[in-house]
Amino acid sequence: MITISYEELALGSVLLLLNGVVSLWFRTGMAVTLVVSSVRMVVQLGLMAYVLRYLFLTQMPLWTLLAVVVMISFAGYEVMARQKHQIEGGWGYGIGMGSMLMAASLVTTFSLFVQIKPDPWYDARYTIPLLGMVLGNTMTGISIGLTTLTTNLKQERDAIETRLALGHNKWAACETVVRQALYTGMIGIVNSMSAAGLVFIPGMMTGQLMAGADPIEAAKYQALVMFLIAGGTTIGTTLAVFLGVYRLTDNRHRLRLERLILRK
Amino acid sequence: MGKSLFLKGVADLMINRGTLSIHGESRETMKATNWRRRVTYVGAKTAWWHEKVIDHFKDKEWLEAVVAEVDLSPKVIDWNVSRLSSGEAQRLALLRALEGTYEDEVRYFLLDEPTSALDGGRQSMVEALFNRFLNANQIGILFVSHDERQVERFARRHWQIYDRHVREIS
Repeated sequence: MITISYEELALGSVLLLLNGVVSLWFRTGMAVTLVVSSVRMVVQLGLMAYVLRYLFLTQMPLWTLLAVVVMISFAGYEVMARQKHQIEGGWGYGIGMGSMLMAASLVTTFSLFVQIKPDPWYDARYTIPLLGMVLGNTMTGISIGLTTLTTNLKQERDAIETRLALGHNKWAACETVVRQALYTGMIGIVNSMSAAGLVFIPGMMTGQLMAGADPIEAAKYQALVMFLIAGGTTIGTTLAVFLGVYRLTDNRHRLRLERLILRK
Repeated sequence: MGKSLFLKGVADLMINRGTLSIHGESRETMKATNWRRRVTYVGAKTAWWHEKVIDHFKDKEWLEAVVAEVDLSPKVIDWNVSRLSSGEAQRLALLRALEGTYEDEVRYFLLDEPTSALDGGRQSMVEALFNRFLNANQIGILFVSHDERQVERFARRHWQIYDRHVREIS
């Protein structure tokens, strides 16, 4: 495998300057965010690398578990931080975190025991990257699903309340909104599955190819990861959307949008 | 207190502290969906959730028979809801609420300015339709109106909400 030096990496970051110039010139208001997020990216990846190196070396299940918990917590936080209308109180974080935990742990455990079977099964070299890929995509699905849900509940409020007034139960009244939320939450993975291999080579496969793996083996791995991501996104998005409806309605079949707060 | 808020409270669409019952059966022991089938709120604004008018109804034959009573052509049944004028939408929303009213069960309607988008002639037609159901003892109506003449014409009892108090006017 060809290694890249720090100087070469620094030269690569010049491309960001381009982005910065465009942001400043057209006053997109993104210049500061760009600097912050690119610095974050480098620092986070660097930290992750050192943590992984340590985890691979020690093979301590407890440390791996800790890394897993930290990753899921950040993902749960990110989901809520991206919401414009946030469900108030502990429920807001609970829904994001809970759906993420359920989806990611189910799917990752499934692949560790059924397909990949590393020895020991909690081998950090497999656990952490798998979880990372599933989390990243599930997080997007959940956050888009919840955003669509809350936005459309607000927008369709009159129609939903009319249905409730006519005696429809809350699930029937929210049916079109739920359908839309599930659809937008899951369309991303569907699109990337149909484009994979034709329009782009997915990141993991690229990595394996560059590291010298056989293309067939790399393709098999990538397909498996796509299945895992699709499964994780489905579980996570569905859970989050239904928990969201559950919290934004009550047992007297009323819409409770006052439980939604505008995030500053 | 606002009239709409009061009606929504009665229909249990909003958190409220009142105690209500129908023929001895209290609201809290009934399922909320059943309560609202018996005590149905129809708001001043109409809302639709399917593409076509007919998709909002269960009984096409009944609808075809009844539309003429409120001066609507049977053609509107197959229209997209986006084509409806506010007056057409208002009359169809009333029919939508009335659908499924049978002789064996009295239903109560909480109507929030139900004829606000209609001219005088069509207001009378809607009132006549209500009167047909009322005279058959199939429905009871609590009707909010800002139109004094309509109140004169249609109301059997008359209350006013003024300065947070409800007062019956004889």
